[in-house]
Amino acid sequence: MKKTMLETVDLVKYFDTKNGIVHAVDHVNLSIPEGETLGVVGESGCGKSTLGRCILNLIPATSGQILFDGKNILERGGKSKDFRQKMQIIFQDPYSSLDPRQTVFNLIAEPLKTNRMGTKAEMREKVEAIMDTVGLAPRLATAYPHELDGGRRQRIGVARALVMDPKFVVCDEPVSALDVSIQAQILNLMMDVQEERGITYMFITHDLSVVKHISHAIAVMYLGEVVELAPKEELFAHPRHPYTKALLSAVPIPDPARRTMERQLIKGEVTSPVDPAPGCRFAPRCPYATPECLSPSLGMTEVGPNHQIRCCHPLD
Amino acid sequence: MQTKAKTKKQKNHGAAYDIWRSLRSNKVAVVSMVIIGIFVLISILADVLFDYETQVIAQDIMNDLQSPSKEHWFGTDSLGRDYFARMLYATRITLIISFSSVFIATALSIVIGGISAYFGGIVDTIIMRILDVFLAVPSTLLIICIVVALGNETVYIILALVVYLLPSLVRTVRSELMINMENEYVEAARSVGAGPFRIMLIHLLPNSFGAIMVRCTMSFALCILSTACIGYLGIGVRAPAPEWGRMLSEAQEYMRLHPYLITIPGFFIMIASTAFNLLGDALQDAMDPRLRGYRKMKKKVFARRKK
Amino acid sequence: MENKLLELKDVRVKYHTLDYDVMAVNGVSLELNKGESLGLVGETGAGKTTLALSILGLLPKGVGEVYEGEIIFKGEDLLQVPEKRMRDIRGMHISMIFQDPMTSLNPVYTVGDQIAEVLQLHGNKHPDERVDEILGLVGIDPSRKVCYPHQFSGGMKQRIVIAMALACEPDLLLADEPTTALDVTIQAQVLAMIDDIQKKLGTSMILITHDLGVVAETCDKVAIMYAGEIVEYGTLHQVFDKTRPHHPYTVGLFGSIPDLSSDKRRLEPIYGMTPDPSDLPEGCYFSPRCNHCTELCKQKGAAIHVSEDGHMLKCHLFTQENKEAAE
Repeated sequence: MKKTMLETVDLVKYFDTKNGIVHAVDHVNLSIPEGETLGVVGESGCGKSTLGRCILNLIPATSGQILFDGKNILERGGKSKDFRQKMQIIFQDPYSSLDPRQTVFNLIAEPLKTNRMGTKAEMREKVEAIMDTVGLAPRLATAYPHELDGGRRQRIGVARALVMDPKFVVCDEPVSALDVSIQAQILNLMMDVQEERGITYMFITHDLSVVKHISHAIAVMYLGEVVELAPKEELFAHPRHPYTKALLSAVPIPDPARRTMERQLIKGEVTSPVDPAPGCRFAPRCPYATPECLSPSLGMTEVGPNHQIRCCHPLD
Repeated sequence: MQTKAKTKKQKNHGAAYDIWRSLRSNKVAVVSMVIIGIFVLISILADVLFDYETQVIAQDIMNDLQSPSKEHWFGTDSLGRDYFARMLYATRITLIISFSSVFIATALSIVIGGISAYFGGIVDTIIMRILDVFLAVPSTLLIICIVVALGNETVYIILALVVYLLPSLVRTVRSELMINMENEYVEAARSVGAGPFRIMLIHLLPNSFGAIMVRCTMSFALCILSTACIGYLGIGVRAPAPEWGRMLSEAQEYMRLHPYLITIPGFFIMIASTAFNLLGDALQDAMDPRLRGYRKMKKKVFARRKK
Repeated sequence: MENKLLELKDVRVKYHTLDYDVMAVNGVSLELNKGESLGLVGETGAGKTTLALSILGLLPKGVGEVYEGEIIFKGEDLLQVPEKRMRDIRGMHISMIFQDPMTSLNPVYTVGDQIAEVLQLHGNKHPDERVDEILGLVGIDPSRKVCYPHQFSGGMKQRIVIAMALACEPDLLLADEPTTALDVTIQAQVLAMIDDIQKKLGTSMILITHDLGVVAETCDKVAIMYAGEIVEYGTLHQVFDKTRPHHPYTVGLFGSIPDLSSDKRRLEPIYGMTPDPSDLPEGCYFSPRCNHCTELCKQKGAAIHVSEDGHMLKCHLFTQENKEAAE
């Protein structure tokens, strides 16, 4: 049994808005073993990005605990810099997440500078080493991001996250802004790095095929809640929650033979995360919904080894 | 292929160079810059060419209202002072006043706008409401009130202009910073532990610099006009120091017999303010990569079509 | 032959910038029959959108220019017709759906008015009935035509945009990444709807996308674009059949997609990156990234090779010239 790198306990993030309270992250319990990858999948507005930012304390959580290496990072409040060095994030958009006025060297060195890690020479050495790791040619150190293509920019993003030698990295849709051929290069890079350094990833994405490729376990989110949590193979082979099943069947597969297959499309659209009704949040779109789905006591139930769902009508 | 691509890419000198190149290719911008350059040169050389005590403010009633001649290029005014020397000194005074006010106002607006944008919420509201009060007073009236209340020392004129420019500059800085704060790189900087000062100085200001520069250039024109305006009303720079607006009002009496006395300062005011305004416009176009070089491209295509 | 709706002959487009010309489309030839749907697949900068804009004559004036080739639509060369005629064709005969439904609708008019406007522009004096009909077709309750765009969700907006494009029953629909901005479950709904309507109305469609999965589910024919050229063209089954010979770029594209139905741990990406269209490599544009690159590839671009059943490949692997050089 590997030790748990990161754990969230009843993590909650509500946003107070004029229209009511947005339940962006609602009582999320997850744990990620060291050196593994947890994929977090969901459609836009399901709170997956908010979850990632809460875990890094970029957005203060409303309540709950975040245990990093067994210690609750929220308790330590002001001293957040200690763990921030060990927890990093890779952003989605390599175009807007890099300051256009900074050179590649400065961008990668920024984490070292802000944390006053070592002398100038040491910084230079570290930056050069990490540029080599992520596959950026040394001559690019003086280039500006706008001179580079998306793939290289995202390599800078990866380098920025890795230069602090973190233990845990939140990857917020790191490849969805990239072309497929570049996407594959970055995914390979991220997996190589994980193997070499034993980094733990939380991989947030809306792309099921990417998440299947990179993750060990997968959490499916819907309107702020985790609705299904299972090891990768189990989830793809036997989805138990109706939403997971619908998601899987909605993914276009590049295989013309599948075209004739009848697919199960769910109707309607994601409802509002503002003051959601009690009970199952997927019920309005669910083909199996019954009145008992609206009982407020709905929680995660174990349906198999490491396989949990939030549903009263689990599929077979 | 690699080497070929490299040579082309390495010509890239960053955004500042692109803007400069775009300005250079814009005729209006070049003319404006040349004019502004001449004005700056004039104000630097005024001291070398003429002695302030004996040639600019010393009265010589015997030689009053002479027409332009070899000795007096622009003639003399009603008190017999060389009009050309006075014009040069007036340029210098106007530019010094404008430059100081724009510089101070910009520096202050970066601080105030920065605080307002970064902290937001109640701080922002208070700052913005105070500025709204200033905006509610007609600008000329505001300047006149300050100068009349404090006296027409150069320092107070500069102060009045700073107060006049500040609200609009702060708004520009604030909105520009707020737009840039939306960018993910700010969050990226926070995620690696950067504090507010670092984010402001290293990330936000350099990215907002362009828009602030445009506003600054245009503020110059406003300063020149306002200085001339209060000078004309007789509450500007203290006599006997020469100043465009005051020279304009003094020359009014002799308009029929010596029209050049009124035309020359009028012309200077117009040219100076237009040059700064046009430069500001051109700068704005140059900042926008979509407009950059658009005119030239159009020409290229038309030329080809004609063939 | 009479079935032919659109024919592109060696179309070449470039954009002018201050210092150099960007060669966006470099000799594209295509044919599209009535009722067919063609998937145009390629990565960013492959020239897909440029090609669609050239068909509609909507390239930015003074910047983009079709400098060679013919675009023949129902026997008429669209590059030669006057602007007035072009305005009639747009919307009436050819219409386009853009990627972002949020910016394609005017926020200050009701959606009903916006659809009616399209109809009125093309001579329908009393569009009300037709508006209801077309809204029903895209799966929106006609009573919602009095709502403003912001009252709809992203998927609904895209349906409205599609309704506008289909209002005049055009012969050809150009759909530029119509579902990229949408969530998967909504994407599936919209794709199913497009498929359905296309069959009902018999509209031809060019679907521009980077997603091979989407193509597999909606198109009859597929064209793979790379650096402004079509490198492979054939029916859906020809291009997706892994047992057939393919262009190395196509192989790379398929290798880059993490496949839901397989368990491979490492992907096989194409190394390097798409060439700068202002500075294309000599010879075959794909040669710097290609595993099968030979001296011949570096010197000159390949001729088109068409197999007996119409599967087109533009690669030296299949040309006579290369075989001779090898010998």
